[in-house]
Amino acid sequence: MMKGSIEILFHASFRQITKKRKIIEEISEECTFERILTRLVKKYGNDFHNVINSQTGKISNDILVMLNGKGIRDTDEKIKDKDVLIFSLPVGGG
Amino acid sequence: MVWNRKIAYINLTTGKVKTKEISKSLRKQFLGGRGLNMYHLYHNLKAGIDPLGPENLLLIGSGLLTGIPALGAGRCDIAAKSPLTGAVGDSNIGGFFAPELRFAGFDHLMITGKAEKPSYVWINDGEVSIHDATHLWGKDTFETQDQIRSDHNDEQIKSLVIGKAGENLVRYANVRTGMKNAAGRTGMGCVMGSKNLKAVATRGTMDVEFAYPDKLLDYCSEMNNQITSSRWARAQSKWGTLIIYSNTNTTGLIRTRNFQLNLLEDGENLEPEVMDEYTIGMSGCYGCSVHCRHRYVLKEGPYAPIFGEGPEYTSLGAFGTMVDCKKMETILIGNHLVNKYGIDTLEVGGIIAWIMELNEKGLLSEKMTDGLNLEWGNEEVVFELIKRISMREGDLGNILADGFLPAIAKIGKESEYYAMQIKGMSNLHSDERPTPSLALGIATSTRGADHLRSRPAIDLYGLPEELLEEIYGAPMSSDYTSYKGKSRMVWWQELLYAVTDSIGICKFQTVFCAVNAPKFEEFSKLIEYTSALKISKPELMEIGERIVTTERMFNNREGFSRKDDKLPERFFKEPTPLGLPIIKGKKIEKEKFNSLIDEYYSLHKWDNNGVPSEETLQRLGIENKQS
Repeated sequence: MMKGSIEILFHASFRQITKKRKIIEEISEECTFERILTRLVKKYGNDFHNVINSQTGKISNDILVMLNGKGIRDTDEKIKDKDVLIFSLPVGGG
Repeated sequence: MVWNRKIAYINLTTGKVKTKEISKSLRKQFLGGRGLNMYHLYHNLKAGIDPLGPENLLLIGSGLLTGIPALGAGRCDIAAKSPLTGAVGDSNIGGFFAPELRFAGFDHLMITGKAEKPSYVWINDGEVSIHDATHLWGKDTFETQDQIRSDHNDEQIKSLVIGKAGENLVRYANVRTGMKNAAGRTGMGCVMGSKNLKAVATRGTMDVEFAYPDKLLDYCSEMNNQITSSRWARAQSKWGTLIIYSNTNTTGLIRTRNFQLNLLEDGENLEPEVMDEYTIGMSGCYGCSVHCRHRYVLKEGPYAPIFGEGPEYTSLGAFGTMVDCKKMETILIGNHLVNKYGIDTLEVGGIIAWIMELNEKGLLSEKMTDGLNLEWGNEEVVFELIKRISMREGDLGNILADGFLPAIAKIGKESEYYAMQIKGMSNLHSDERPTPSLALGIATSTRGADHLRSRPAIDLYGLPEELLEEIYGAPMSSDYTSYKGKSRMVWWQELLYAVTDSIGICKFQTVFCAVNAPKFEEFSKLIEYTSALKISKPELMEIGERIVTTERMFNNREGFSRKDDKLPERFFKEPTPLGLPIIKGKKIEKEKFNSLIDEYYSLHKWDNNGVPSEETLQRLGIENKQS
């Protein structure tokens, strides 16, 4: 199985939770956002579980998760080698 | 009647003051704040007047909701013909002045003429008078406020003041109140200076009546709970607007070295957490449950000690990324200096970044540099230029004090390409090349390049398309690099912000930051509980249309048209050099962008040249005044 790695950046409250600005995670070929999130819950606790809206099963509208700069909402988004994932909050824009 | 509040007409030339009640029909058409100011500006100002002449008006207005204990309802709108752009001049300021004005018995002020000597207007419990301000002239914005409080022996006085920049008629001088609040844009402080008006000070102990106080308090409590329980509000109450930097600087949405790069490499020292070292607490404006403002102390260095408030994300760009300075201390000192002199942080930062790029490109003669080392990252020259511009010192300071367009005329046509301005006003340090919706907003804004007139910030969040359709009323792409449906987004946000500025609440507590923040529906309830006026969501949107179209008519009368709703050429020619994959290599596509403008005009029911049709004017009840 092919392996790769991704960069995960933490902003705002996620930076407080993890006490890190950036980590590198190794991934397998068939990785999804959900798998990454499960790992983060194990590492950093339930705050990452709360990224998902329990009613819709999607990333909550008051969280901003960006994959290579694009906001995503679905947990089955494919994650591939060299991707950049950002956990942040929607604030401002100007 | 709770909507039946007063406007004072103050003539500085004659010293006469008249007061009048604001009519219910005007309230229903324009609400208050920016809306009423725009009505007065359009109807009472002749086309083509000199913005620095005594005939210019200075309008100061609280919002229809000013004074309620929620949503930062302490905003004040200041308007005039802009000495920077020649278009609508209009700027919004937080703090505590507007509620105090209401407690003193007035909602709006219309100031005309020019005082013979430095003066200030004093408004106290229903009385308006004009006082000598000779002893205040020359004082900075902090000293001026302190002196007025001391003169009247009352620590509760709230003042709108100008600093040296306003006195020296710098065309982007601002109006200040408190430690940090500023009506920064379009040069309203310059208009005050031209009228020899150093300050407008107020103190009030009168009651403010609300139509349904019990319902209002319950609903305000609900609104405050909604805001404070949100993630974005909790983040802003810790890091202020500096929090935006983490997102924009990692993705590539931030102007760096004027417009050459779109993120600041090695910019860790501008991350919001760095402020923890200097912060002694957070503070907020009237009626705010968020408190997004740092209170900071700078204990060491040549400018120490500094006690200040802020800085906003705007100052981080002005004295950080745009001039390639990478220390938080630089931002804090720059922020302090602009607050002291009373000059727009965004405009001064934009014009310094421009002059640095001209220097790099060899487009400035040695004589023109006035002996300054204008290299990127030179913080001392940034501080020196803030001072020289504010004081109009030296040739360069004096040229830059007049703003982009006169400076381009003096420096040379070739310099125009590098000036990141629209209608003569500097753009924020955001890079809109990857975001057509944000680019459309700055191109069409009635007051020049501007992110607070129509910015659909939620376009950046990749929200579900069905949710966007629910908000904006039509299908649109959730991809912020797409052009699909973005004209409608901008149009809708423009109407929302026109209403927001007219009811006097903080934009951050609307659908600027978060999709579930208050919007038209919540405004309708608050207006009813406050004033007994029943104004539905469609009616509020029509009021928004009326305000924006009135501004458009004002600008058209001054010679503005579609030719002025444009982006700097660099947006079309230079792709973004850095950033994450969705952002890198992006530029605005001219043909698609022109179609966006067509669609935007069509939504407003203006013709292809941006002129409102007679039918539109009739529908909105706007008189076609050509002179």
